[in-house]
Amino acid sequence: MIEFELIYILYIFAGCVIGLVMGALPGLTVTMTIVLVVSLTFGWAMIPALAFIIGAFAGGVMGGSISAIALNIPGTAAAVSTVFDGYPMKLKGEANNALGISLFVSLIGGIFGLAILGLVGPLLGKIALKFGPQEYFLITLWGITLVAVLSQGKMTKGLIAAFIGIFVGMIGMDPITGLMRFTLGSKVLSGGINYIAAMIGLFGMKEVLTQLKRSKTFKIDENYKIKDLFPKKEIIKRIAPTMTWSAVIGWIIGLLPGTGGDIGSLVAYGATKSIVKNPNRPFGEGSYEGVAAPETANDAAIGGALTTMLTLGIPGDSITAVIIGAFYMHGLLPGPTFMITEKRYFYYILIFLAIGIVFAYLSGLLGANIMLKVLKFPKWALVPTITMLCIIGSYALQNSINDVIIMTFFGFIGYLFEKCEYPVSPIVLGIILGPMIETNFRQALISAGSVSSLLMSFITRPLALAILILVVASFVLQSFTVKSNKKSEAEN
Amino acid sequence: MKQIKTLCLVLALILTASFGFSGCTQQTQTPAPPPAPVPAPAEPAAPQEPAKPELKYPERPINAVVGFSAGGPTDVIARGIVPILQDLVGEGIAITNTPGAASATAAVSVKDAKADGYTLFFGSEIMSVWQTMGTMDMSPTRDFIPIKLVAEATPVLAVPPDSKFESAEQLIQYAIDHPGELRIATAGPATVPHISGLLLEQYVGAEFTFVPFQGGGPAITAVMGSQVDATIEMVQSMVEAHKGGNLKILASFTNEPIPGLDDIVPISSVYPVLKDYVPYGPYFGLFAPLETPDDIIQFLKEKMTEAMADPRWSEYCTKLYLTQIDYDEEAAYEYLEKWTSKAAWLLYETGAAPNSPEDFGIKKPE
Repeated sequence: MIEFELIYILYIFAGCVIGLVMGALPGLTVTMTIVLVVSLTFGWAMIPALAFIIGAFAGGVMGGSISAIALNIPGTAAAVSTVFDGYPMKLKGEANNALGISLFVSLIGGIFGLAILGLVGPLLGKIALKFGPQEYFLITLWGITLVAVLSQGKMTKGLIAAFIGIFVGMIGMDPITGLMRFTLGSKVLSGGINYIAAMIGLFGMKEVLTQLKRSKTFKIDENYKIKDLFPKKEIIKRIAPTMTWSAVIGWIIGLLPGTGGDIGSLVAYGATKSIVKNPNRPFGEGSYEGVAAPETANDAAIGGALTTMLTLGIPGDSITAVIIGAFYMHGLLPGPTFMITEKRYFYYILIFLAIGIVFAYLSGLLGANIMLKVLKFPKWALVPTITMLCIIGSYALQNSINDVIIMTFFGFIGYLFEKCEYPVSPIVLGIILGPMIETNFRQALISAGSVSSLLMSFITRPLALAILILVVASFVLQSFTVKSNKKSEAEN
Repeated sequence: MKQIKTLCLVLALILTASFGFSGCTQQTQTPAPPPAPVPAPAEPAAPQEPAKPELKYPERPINAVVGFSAGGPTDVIARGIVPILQDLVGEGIAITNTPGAASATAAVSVKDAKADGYTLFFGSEIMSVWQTMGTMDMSPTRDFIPIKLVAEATPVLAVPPDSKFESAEQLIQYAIDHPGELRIATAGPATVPHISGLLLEQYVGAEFTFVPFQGGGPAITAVMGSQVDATIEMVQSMVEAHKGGNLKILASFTNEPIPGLDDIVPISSVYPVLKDYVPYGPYFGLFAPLETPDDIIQFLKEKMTEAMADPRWSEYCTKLYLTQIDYDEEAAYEYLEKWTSKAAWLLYETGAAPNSPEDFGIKKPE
């Protein structure tokens, strides 16, 4: 039933390399990579096409974190939270460790996601259906509490930044009524603010502007060899517990239709921050755990998203949505029965993904090695290159010049914010999560009929209740941690 | 010195690569070899115009803009017909996805582009509601030239697998007796699922609570998980789930059963009053900016006619349960105006749309 040809390996490898390069270039998201790959394979048979697509999927997710760590520009949305600790690590001269950790945990996370998919995926797929607007609302609400850690002690400023982000997320078409909000009748704003464009501006372009101000060059004195990219034993030991829960969180969030690696990595980061009490450095300043958590989660999410796709025929995230589109384009209608009658696709995807993840790791090592060498270039060469990447990346998002304008604007905003010592990450958090919180809340409200029955439904729906307890618990746990930290500081 | 050389080389490579990649996101398939002479279908002997200057089109790749993200229904249909058309015109046709603002962002970019036939818009029914919904003051007939309308999809009504409703009649009767109690998931405000639900409200007297989701996929997921009481979505996205018992399709918004799916009841057989209002599915077609020269429009129209005669296209439509339509010129304008007026007035009269269709000169349907 399953015929495996060696040529498939070549397709997977080619897909991997394309995915890795595109993922590493800011603005070229994994979704976009898959779209490109799908359209290239339009005339192919389904199986080789699948090999190519799955390879690109695995490579793309891995690639996003390389530029996040090295350039402070998340290559993909799923790498946003990698920036939080990855870039500070690089600034502290640990670029090799950051890249090493991120690649290694991606490998483990990916394999974990795949293993769960292969072993119990079909049984668990149905859980995805139990998540309604109430549950999504609570999950995203939990995500927004990350503002606390991203503010780095400047809570008021962090909240202001988060509210600006939420406001920016409201610009454009109202998701419930379809009416235009805050667009001032302008064509640039009518499509809303694309959060990836804003993100490239706030991280990448801001960095360019900051560098222009400074006369010093990027400082990387160390000479790295490729073996420095393998994480050291004590680091692995340190991040092992973080990896376990991050992988589970990533997998579950990936499973849910409508949320993928981007939200998964944010939630995993948040959970880690509330569980790990003694990171090697405080979160946001270059802790190993802070890099490991999101990176494990966004790769584990691949397995989750594929589970939903394979067992229910509905996309687990925007990337699997495109893959389902590819099935349509080949004249196949994916759905629950499809995966039973055409079971071979299930096995093909499993095998391809396993090979793809390993390839992605190996080519990721090479890619990261090159990146480290590139970073040693003088500033006059790097700054224009980053600028070009920001512009090309934001244009490529939706093939629209509007996004370039938005990106540049946010670059200046980011620069001003940093000058005034406001944190910028909460803005991105607000733009990503704000619309999800709003939409899900309003959907839940419409479904429930009234505010009182909505509040009741948070308690009567078992899953909602479970998440609610988790959210409350993490709040309590955190305040407890903060208190004990303060106490120990006082004692010192 | 050597270092600087290597540096320049690497930089140049990176830039070229990134340009290449960003360019690649617009799907450009390698232009196919010149098409084999297809025996042209004998056209009704239209009076041949006297020898006109030879048309130099297309000389370079054409860009077809889709206003939704890849993998969505409009994109899937565009990618079904465009490769066939590409073979026939002998130049590459790239599909560019520019999602946002109910595809108005994409449409604006096409409208503002040079009307030279190299930028086209692959549009869908959402164009008909831009004006009344206040998205953008643009209309498919006033601001664009419809080259060809190629397909229609069929909306169907579905309920969760464990629903107490066994038939459309039971469900609608319940909605008449208990106004506002049933929640229907739609793909978003003013989309065909929403409009189809409004049809039931306006002409049958049912009353629903519409829960808008971000597209058809999430709406279907919601009904599969019993988060809502019913959904209206296109048949091709739900037929597999229906066969697998993950949801139940109760009725189609048509007058005749869908070919191959005879167990699904056409809604007008239950409510004959709807006979004049269905079939009412979304349309898909190729549009050009208003000022595009007529010979280019004619050229594209002819090539589209050929493409649609290709067995690959009819096979594609059959597999995806799409209804093939073929409207151009007058017929297309008439079809679009009728569609727009039905949708616009329905949305306005039920309070879903803020702007009166009258302000835009959209006539009330008789």
